[in-house]
Amino acid sequence: MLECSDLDVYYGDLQALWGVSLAVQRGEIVALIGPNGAGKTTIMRTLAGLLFPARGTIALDGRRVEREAGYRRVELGLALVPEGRRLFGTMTVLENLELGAYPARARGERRAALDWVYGIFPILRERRGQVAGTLSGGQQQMVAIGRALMSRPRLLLLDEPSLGLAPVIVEQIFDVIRQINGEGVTVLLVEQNARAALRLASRGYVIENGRVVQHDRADALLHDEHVRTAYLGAGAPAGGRP
Amino acid sequence: MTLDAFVQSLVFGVLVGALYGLAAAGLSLVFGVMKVLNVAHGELLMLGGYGSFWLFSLYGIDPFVSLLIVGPVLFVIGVALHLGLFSRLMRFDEETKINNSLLIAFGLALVLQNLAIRAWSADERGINAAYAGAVTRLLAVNLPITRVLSLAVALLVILGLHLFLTRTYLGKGIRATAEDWQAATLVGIDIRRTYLVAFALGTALAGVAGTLVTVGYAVSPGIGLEWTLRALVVVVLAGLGSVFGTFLGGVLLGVAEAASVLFIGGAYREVVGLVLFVLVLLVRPQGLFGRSR
Amino acid sequence: MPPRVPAVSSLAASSGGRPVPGLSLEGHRRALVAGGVVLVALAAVPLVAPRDDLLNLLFLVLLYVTLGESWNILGGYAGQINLGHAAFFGVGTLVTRQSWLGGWPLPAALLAGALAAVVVALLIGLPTFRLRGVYFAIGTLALAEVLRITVTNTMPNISALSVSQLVSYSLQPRYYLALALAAACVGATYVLAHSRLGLGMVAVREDEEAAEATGVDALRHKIAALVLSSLFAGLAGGVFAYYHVSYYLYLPFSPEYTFDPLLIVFIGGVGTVVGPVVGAFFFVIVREYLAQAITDAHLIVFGVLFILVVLLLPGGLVEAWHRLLRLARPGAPRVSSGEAMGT
Repeated sequence: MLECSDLDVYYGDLQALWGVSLAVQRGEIVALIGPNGAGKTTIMRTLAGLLFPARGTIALDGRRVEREAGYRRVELGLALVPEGRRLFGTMTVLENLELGAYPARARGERRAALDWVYGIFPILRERRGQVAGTLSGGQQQMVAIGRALMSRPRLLLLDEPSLGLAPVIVEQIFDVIRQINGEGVTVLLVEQNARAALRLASRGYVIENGRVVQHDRADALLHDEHVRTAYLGAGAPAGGRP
Repeated sequence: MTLDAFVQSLVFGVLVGALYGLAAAGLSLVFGVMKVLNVAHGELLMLGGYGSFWLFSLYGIDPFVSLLIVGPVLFVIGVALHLGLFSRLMRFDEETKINNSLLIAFGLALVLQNLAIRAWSADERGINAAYAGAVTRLLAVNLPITRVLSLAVALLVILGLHLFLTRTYLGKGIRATAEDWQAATLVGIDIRRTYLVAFALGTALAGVAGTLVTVGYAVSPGIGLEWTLRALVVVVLAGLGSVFGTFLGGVLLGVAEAASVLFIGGAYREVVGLVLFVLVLLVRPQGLFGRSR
Repeated sequence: MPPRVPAVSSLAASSGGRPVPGLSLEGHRRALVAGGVVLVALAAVPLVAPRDDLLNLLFLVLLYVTLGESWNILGGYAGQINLGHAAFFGVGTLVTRQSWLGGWPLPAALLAGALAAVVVALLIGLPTFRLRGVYFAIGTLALAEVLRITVTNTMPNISALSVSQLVSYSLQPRYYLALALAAACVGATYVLAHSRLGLGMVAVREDEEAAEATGVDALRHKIAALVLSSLFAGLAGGVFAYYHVSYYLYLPFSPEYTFDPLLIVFIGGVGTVVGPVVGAFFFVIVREYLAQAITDAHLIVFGVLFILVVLLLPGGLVEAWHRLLRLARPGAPRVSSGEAMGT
């Protein structure tokens, strides 16, 4: 469903990604793991259209999108939940969710989408009139994911959904991701918590220094020597549930 | 100084303050969304004023009716200006964008003002509708009909703007873009189109304000700078983020000016606003009603 | 966090004028010689062609050179847009005129005017430099307007020279004074452009946060630029006050004394030493020509030129000249910069 090949991405004159290639099949959950600053977020931003690659291609269901503006990709069925959530803090939960259905094709169905999102995150229905900036971290993450879901994406990109959240909330979020995937949404996930991500995903890519250094089935990576020492031993958060 | 005269003065302050608020609303919208300060805003207001003046002088169209023409025409002019000038700046980072937009807007103000002088001479023009002199009296206060009507129109427009920004998808998209343009892109908002609409809308609002200014006072090519400054003062005073806050800021400025005239005379009317503006900048840069950045 | 995108400033000095500290001795020598030639030529005019109309025209050019170059120090090198330069100029004229007519010797009057301009500049600069750049711009815009209105109301009269002063009025010393000031201002800008201080200012202009991160005290550099800029603007005001026989005291505060320097600097080439000089000559001469042809159209023409320069040719005439030279001989290929941000 998603295929990118040989992406080179720069920030100004600084190269951040070298020849990154990855693929996500329909219905999968794929994880991107790696150290801080490796380029995982850069990949996500490039896929979503906040950055444009100097070289390389991105194809969504066969259609080339690397030159398309970000909003066009949302219309085509791709949605990113960015790192740090990036909610519209002065607007209410409902307004944030409604804005998620901004693309024309999603607007007509927004009632149904809203019910779907409320079904996944019941607390949002309760708090729909609350200003988003006043919610707790976990609730904000729910709004962020819900907002992305409002556009009925076929491919959902999640950048560090567990960042800064208490472990029990993280578990809920991961359950939700599993649930959404079960309903037919393909997921590409960037996660610090490598263990949880690899347990959730079917395949994984290891990103280091702006390059893809490893790529395998998730369970293979869980037992891989390098991955274990680099990301699963010291990488697992203290007190994090396996 | 009788109480009556005092109240009369303050009421006039409110009436003119409504125009300040309306003039500021357009500037605030553009600044809030695009982070661009259009210092030619006053010249756009001037254009709107001339538009309604000529519609009245040549075709006898009542100024309050001509709003329906002036608004859309200025909207189109805004589209043209944005596409021609300001849209080219949007890809820069904030510092560069602000600097360049200040310069370009300044150049635009210069050009517009001098085009107006050449086209229509530097004389002041006013609109003398049939009801121009009519005054109604309420609780010992004289209320000129035209000024009251202007207040009503200003309130209506502000209300309409508020509804647009809070009830429509396009409007909410504008607010979202103002808050976080990257997040706005991620939910599928076309940022470039949002900027275009915001700028054109800001221009249209300036035009409407210009019509009301011409009805109540006069228009000449030189009023651009003073109205740009007034709008700036109100924007700084009120802060960004609230349409009603901006309008209220305008009214406050109008009342402050009126009060100052009572005590230090009319010549320094503008100075009051500008001094207030510098004070607010120093003490509370986000304005009275604005969000802390 | 991704690394910060370096700012792409279209106000950046074109490759023709980027300050290069450590310019070779040869480069400095050539600049000095070129400047010296122009200086000598201009100095010779009153001796070779002592016509009043020519001297008055050149006086205007020289005054504008100083006005433009002084704006350029703050706006072109330090990147702080000043929309109220007339305030500094006006304060200089006011203080110099009043003290000179009040009996002070000219040098003291000039100094007083310059210092007054600096004080006023600091009054607006110190509070607003801490805020975002746009606040300095509107602060100066407001300041100039406040001063103009105040002076117009408190001193609405014409200031005229006394009969004895009128009798002893001579154009030559005034011309030489303007020439000396222009030379000093251009020279100071040249020295600044090749100094550490100047490099620091450019760093602040390009990216204030990055500059701070590398140890450049942005506030100090902005203040330094402001002081220099207002000092020369104030001196220019003093020279104006010394030159004019009679004028309305509020006139120098009018917006045209902000507009014109801006036009000059950008059309000539912002951020370069020579840009304001070229711009001043261009501006005054073209204005004289246009004034004969169609009155007041010059502002429209210049305004449009100005917008075009800011949008398309940020280096102004200086950059145009360098590009023309480059067409004659092949230069280094331009490296394409990175990705645009989002939109």
